[in-house]
Amino acid sequence: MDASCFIAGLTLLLGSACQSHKSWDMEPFLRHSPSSILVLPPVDATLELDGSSMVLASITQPLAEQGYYVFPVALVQSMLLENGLPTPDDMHSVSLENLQEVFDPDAVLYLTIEEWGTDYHAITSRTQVAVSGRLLDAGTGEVLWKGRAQRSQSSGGAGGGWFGALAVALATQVLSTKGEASRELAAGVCHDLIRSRRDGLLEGPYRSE
Amino acid sequence: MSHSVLVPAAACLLAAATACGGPGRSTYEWGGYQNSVREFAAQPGGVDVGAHVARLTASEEKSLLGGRPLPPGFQAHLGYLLLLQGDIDRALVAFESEMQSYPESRAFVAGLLDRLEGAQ
Repeated sequence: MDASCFIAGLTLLLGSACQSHKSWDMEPFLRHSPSSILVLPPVDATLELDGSSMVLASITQPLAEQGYYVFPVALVQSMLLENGLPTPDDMHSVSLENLQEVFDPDAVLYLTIEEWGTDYHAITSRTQVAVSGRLLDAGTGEVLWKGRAQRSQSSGGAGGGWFGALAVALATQVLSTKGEASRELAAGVCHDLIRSRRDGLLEGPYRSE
Repeated sequence: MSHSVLVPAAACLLAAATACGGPGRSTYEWGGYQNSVREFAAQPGGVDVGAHVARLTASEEKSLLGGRPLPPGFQAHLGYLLLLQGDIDRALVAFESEMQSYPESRAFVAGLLDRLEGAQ
């Protein structure tokens, strides 16, 4: 085999890997091939106050870029709240029949924030976020896909001696609890969960067009 | 392996690796949608609806002026904010656009409009 032939073969293999080689059983997914996904507000198993809304705000982009119609998540949340369902736990317990009646999705995505915490080690800190998801066929309740993703972010430990490092750690901590850093972490986890080549969703109809 | 083979080989592999699911270019004009969703989801009753409408309208104009299409849910979200603002006419236009762009939303949005009519 000459080198260019080998390379062409390898390229072909890599190219096909993105759609056809997943770590999970694709049969139910392919059989139902959903095109619209209703995302319910994430259940938050942690004490992070803003976790649920940050994940909810970050999940639409990877799902849509992966090729799906995603129902407007904030509007869906408002409608569920107005219908006497005050928490994500309550929302997750609504029957698929009822969800179908109101939203008519092909599939429903249930998310859980499993971890959102910061460990402090003297002058550095490390924030870890883990989110899991389950996609159910809205008509049959069959599980189409399950996944989990986690990311962590460290801060502090920079130069400038003990005092300088402490100042950096405090400053980044303030930023990472409230601001940009947390948002990036949430966006990163959602991207990994949905678009991971091995464990993520297959591509939807708006992607292959 | 000589250089003359290695260079195209690397290019091939790179092309194959980036062709699928990489970060790449966004399909949609996201504009202010995600920020609006986050603020709204965190505090449904506490957002400055007018400011959100202004930002989303700017994103909408950018999309209409030959940019990328608006993402799924954007127009319905804008429609809902316009409703909260009492701007029923513009809200109906936004809801209609969502149904036009994304037929998957039809049952949901039509149901919403029915209930709205019933409430009036």
